[in-house]
Amino acid sequence: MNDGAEELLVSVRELAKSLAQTSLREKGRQAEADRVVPQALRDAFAQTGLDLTADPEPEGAGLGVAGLYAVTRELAEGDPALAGALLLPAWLRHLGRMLSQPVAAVSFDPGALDKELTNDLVALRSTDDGATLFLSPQASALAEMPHQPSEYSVGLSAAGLTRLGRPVLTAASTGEEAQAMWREGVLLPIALMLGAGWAALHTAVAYALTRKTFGQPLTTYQGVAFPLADAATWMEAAQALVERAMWLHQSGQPGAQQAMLSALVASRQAAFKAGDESVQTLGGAGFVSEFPVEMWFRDAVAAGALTGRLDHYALLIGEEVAS
Amino acid sequence: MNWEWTPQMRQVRDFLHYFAQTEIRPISRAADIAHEVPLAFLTKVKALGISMEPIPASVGSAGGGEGVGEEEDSKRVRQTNRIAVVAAEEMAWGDAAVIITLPGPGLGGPPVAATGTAEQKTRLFGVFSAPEPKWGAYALTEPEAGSDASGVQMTAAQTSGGYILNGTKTFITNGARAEWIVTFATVDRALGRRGQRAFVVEKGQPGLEPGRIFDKMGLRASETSEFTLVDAFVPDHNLLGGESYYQERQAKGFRVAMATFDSTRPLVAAMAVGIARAALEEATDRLTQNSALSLATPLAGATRARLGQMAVELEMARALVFEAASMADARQPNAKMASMSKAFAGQVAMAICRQAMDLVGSVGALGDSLLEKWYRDIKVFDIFEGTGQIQRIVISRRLFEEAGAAN
Repeated sequence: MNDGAEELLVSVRELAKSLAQTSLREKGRQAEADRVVPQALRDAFAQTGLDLTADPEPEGAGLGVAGLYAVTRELAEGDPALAGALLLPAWLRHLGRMLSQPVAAVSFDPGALDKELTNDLVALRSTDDGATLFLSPQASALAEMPHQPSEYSVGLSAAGLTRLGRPVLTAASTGEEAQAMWREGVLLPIALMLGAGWAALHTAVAYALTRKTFGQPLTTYQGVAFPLADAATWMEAAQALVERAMWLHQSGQPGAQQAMLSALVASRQAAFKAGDESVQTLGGAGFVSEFPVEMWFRDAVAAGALTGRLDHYALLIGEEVAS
Repeated sequence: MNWEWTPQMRQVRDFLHYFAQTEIRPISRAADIAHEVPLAFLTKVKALGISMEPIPASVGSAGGGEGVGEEEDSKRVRQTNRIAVVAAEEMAWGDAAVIITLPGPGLGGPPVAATGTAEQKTRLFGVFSAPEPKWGAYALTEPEAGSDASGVQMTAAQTSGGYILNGTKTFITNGARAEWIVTFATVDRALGRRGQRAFVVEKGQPGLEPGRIFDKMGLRASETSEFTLVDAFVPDHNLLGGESYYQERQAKGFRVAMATFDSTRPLVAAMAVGIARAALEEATDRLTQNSALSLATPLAGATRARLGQMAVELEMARALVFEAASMADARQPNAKMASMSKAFAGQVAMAICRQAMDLVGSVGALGDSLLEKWYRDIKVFDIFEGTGQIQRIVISRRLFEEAGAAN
C-alpha cells in the first residue's frame, strides 16, 4: 500500500471510529430490541461515504478489502450488529464482483452447499435485496434465499444475518477463486468479532478502574487484572494475525489461505475470551442490560457462529500444514 | 464419603426428571421470550407441592452456624443436601430460570431457618401454606457492594420499637414479587462485619420503593430486581433472631450471610451441572441424528474426543457438588468444597455449553435450538452466589489455613 493509500486508510478509519462512537454506540441496544436499523442511522452512514464499494472504479477507493475491513472493524466497536447491517450490502457487492462465472458454468453441486449449510459455511444475507452469499474454503456462491429470519438468536439480532431456508444459486465459484473470496468474505465476521471483543474489553477496563471493592479499585486485584491482560493479549495477537493474513492475501504471497484460517480461529477464541472476561469483570452488572457488555459478548459469539464449527478450521489448517 | 445413592435420591431424580421433561422443558423457550413464567404453571406447581428450596439442613454444619433448632439424630443419616443437589440438577436440566421462579422462600429460607426465632419461622414460613404461589427473597448485594458483601452500606438506625432502614439493594431474585425479603443492613459502618444485621422487609411496607426489573443476558424468565428503602421502619420482631442473638455472637450478621452461601453454592453448582448436561445431551443427539455434522466427516474423531472430554468434566463437577453436599449432610464444615463446586461447575458448564453450540454448527446460535439459550443462561453461574474470583479467594484462604497460615 503506497503512502497515499495509507493516509486514506487512516482517515477512513478515523471517520468510522467517530461514527461508531457518536451514533452506533448509543443506538445499539434499542436496535437489538427492535431488530431494525434506524433509518436515520442509515442516512447518516450514507452521508459519510464510508460505503467504499459504492463506486466500482476504483472499488474501495483503491483500498480494496483492507478499506472495507477497517470500516467494519471500527464500526463494530460501536455496535457489531449495526455495523454488520450497515456494511453487509457493501460486502455482498464487493464479493459478488469477484464471482467470474454464472453458476451454470461452474461445476458446483447445490446439494453440497446444502450439506455445508449445517457445517462450516459463512452465510451473509442482506435484508436490503434478499441476496445471500455463501462462502466456504471450498466453494462460494451467491444465492437468492427466502427470508426466514430466526425468531431468536444469541446475538447480532439487528444485523439481518440469517442462514435458514434452501438457497437458489445464481452464481458460484470453486477452486482458487472460491478460496480468494472466502479469505476476503471471512473478514466480515472477523471484523465484527474483534470489534465486539474490543468494545467489551475497553468497557470492562474502564469499569475496573473506577469500581471499588474491599476499598480498592478492581484493577488492583490480580484476579481481575490478569484475566483482562490475557484477554487483551489474545485480542492483539488475533488482530495481528488478521492483518498479516490480509497482507499475504493482498500481496499474492503463498500461505495466505492458512494464515486466514488461523486468523479466523484466533479471532473467535480471542473475542470469546474478551467477552467472557469482560462480563465476569462487571459481575452482576455485566449480566444485566445496564451495560452493553453482555450484548457484545453475545454478538461476538453470534458472529463466530456464522462461520460454523471451530474445529473444522483446525482440520483445514492441519491439512494445509501437512501439505 | 459415601457415594451411594439412597432410594430416596433415586426417586427424587426419577420423578423430577419426568417433571422437568414433561412440564418444564415444554415452556422453557416461551418463558424466556416472555421474560416470565406463566402464573398457571406456577399455580399448578404449587398445588403439586414442588419447590426449589435451598436446604437449611446445612445450616449448623456447613457454614459454621450453630444448628439452632436442630436435633441430632445419630441413627439417621441425613441426606437432605444430597437430595437437594440431585433435585437441582434435574430441575435445571428442564430450565434453570423456571425453577428459580418456583414459589417458596427461595434464598431467604436458609437465614430464616438458621437464625430466626421460633415465632419468626412460624410466621415467615407460614406464608407459604397459602394455596396461591408466594415467594420470599434475599437481598445482600448493593450497587456499590457486590462481591464485597462485608461492605454493606444500607443503614439500620435503632429507634423506638424497631429500626429505620435506608439504602438500595440490587440483583434480587424474585424481589419484586416477594412477600418478605431478608435484607442485610449495618447498624454502624465503623463496626464492619460486626455491625451487620439481617432484617425482614415485608411487601408493601411504607418506605419500600420498588426499583427496576432487569433485562438480562440469560435466565430471562426469572425476575431480577432492585429496591430502595427510604426511612423504612422495620419492627423489632423483624430483626432476624432478635438483637440478643447478635450481641451474643460477635460478627454474626455477616456470618449469617456467608452461611447461606455455604448451603446455596452447591445447589447453584448443581444447577450449572444440569444445564451443561442438557447441552451435552442435545449436542450429542443432534450429532447422532445428523451424520453430516459429525460421524461421517473427517471430524468424527475430534467430535468424539470433544464429547468425551465434556463428559469427563461434567462428571468432575458433579462429583464436587455431591461431595460438598455430603459434607453438609455429615455436618462437616464445607465452605471450601462448596466454593470449589461452584467455581469448577460454573466454568466447566460454561465451556460445555459453548462447545455444544459450536459442535452443531451455526444453527446452534439460532432459536430453533435451546443451545443458544443455555449458553446465555449459564454465564451467570460463574457470577451470582459469589463470583468465580470470590470462590477462589475462599478456596485459597482455606488452603493456606490448612497449611498453617494465620487468618
